[in-house]
Amino acid sequence: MAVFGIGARARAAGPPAAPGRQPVFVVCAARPGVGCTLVARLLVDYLSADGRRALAFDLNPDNRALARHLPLQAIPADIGDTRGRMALFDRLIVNDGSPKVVDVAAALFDRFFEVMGQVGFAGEARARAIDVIVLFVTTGDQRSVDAYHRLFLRRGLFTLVPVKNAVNRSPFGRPAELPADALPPLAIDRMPAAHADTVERPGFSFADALRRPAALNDFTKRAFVAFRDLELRLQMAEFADLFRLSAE
Amino acid sequence: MLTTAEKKAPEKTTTHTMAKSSADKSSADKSTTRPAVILVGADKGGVGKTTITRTLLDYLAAKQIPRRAFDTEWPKGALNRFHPDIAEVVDVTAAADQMKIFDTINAAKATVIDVRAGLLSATLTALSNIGFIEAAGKGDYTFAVFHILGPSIASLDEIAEAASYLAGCHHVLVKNLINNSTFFEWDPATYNSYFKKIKGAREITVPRLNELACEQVELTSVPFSTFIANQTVDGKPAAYSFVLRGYVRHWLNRVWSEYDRAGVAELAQHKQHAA
Repeated sequence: MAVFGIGARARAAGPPAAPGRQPVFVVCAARPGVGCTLVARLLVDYLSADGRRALAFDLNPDNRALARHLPLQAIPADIGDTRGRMALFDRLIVNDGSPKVVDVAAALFDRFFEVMGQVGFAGEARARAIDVIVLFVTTGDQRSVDAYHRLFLRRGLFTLVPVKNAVNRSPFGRPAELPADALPPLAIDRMPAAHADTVERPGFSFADALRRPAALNDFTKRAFVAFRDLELRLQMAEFADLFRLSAE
Repeated sequence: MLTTAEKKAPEKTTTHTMAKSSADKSSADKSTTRPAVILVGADKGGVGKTTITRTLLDYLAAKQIPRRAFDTEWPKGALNRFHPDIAEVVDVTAAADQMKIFDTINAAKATVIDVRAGLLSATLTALSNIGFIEAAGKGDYTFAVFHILGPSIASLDEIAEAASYLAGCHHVLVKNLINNSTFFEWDPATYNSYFKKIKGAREITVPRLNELACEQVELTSVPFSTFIANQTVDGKPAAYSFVLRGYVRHWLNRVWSEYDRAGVAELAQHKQHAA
């Protein structure tokens, strides 16, 4: 607990980011079955454990795993028609102080970013102090590499973070495999095989797992540290700009 | 339709002289400040004339070209609802209203006239009678006709009639696909026979706009740019859907880039000499 200062953070007022800033995390992948929803669940639980109540959107019309696991925090969403897009993006663009997490199904990957571009989400988000952070779960195949590079070309619009999920075969993310100015990957360990069923149990929360000494504890702890590390890195990037300005 | 215009013929003599005098005034420095008149018309109703006029007014505003508009949907007014500050409802067949429009044309402003369905040829006749078209041909005015084409064609008669007046002015064909995603039912042969005759006609395609977004803007009765800026009529913050605003912004940008491509700003700023 002390490692993360989670209890302390929950008591101390406010999220760590500069006042008024709010993140929107988009968890996505170019292929199904690579652990997108697991990353989204870990992220939501990490934010809860950190004393921040996240609002999640389950953009997995065929499965709704996220909404099943987080019935109180995840809203089923769809972008098939205009009304669905309004329900999702009109909510994402509100800076109400609670972080948002969107779990995008691989089937909707292209569509999601297309709609995002069409409605000008990135520009409006910037104007409202909302940070868009895209967590892209990588796999070694060409389709995934291409999709990553397509997103990378648009990195001016959002922060792009590759996610190496150890469960996947040959996820890419070594420095040699990424463009020079890409953010380093966020690493998720392989889940202990004995607990694969535990985490699928209804009502299971990674934040709870953290409080009890168990084999899942290490896995969860490392994942949470990875998220904290990412947040610090993003904050440092912001500060770096400030320092640079004051140096000049 | 012509009969209405002709009935007013005696009164038009006055209008004619007055229009002439203002034309003489402006011709002194015509190379820089030539007043522009843009007529938006169609061969039939319901093809989106008013919508196009609204995009045009927003475009001129964005280009910081002073503009005023006349709405011939008399007495009700369709354009007036969206641009009450600059659009005046007129009866274009009445001499009094013709004076209101053409005697007040001045170099500082672009005048946009939304011509009601079925009135295009009557309006052109009236303009010809008061000598405006001739003056435009000589370069005293910039005169442009935006001809809105719907996805299908109802009657070619009015187009044919209108085309006979358009020899000396700028002709812009607007293919309006705002409500249609699919195809354009124009027979190329028919199309060419009527429109390719007009020399130097420019073509603009207005792309489709998401129907919910379209509907929402209609309901709110504000200009497109105001909707995008999330404001009410009186400039107060509104609560329009972000997604719908995004669609309208995306669409309006595409329309404006079409206008850019066709040189509409140059037309309205009178920098280009008449053909």
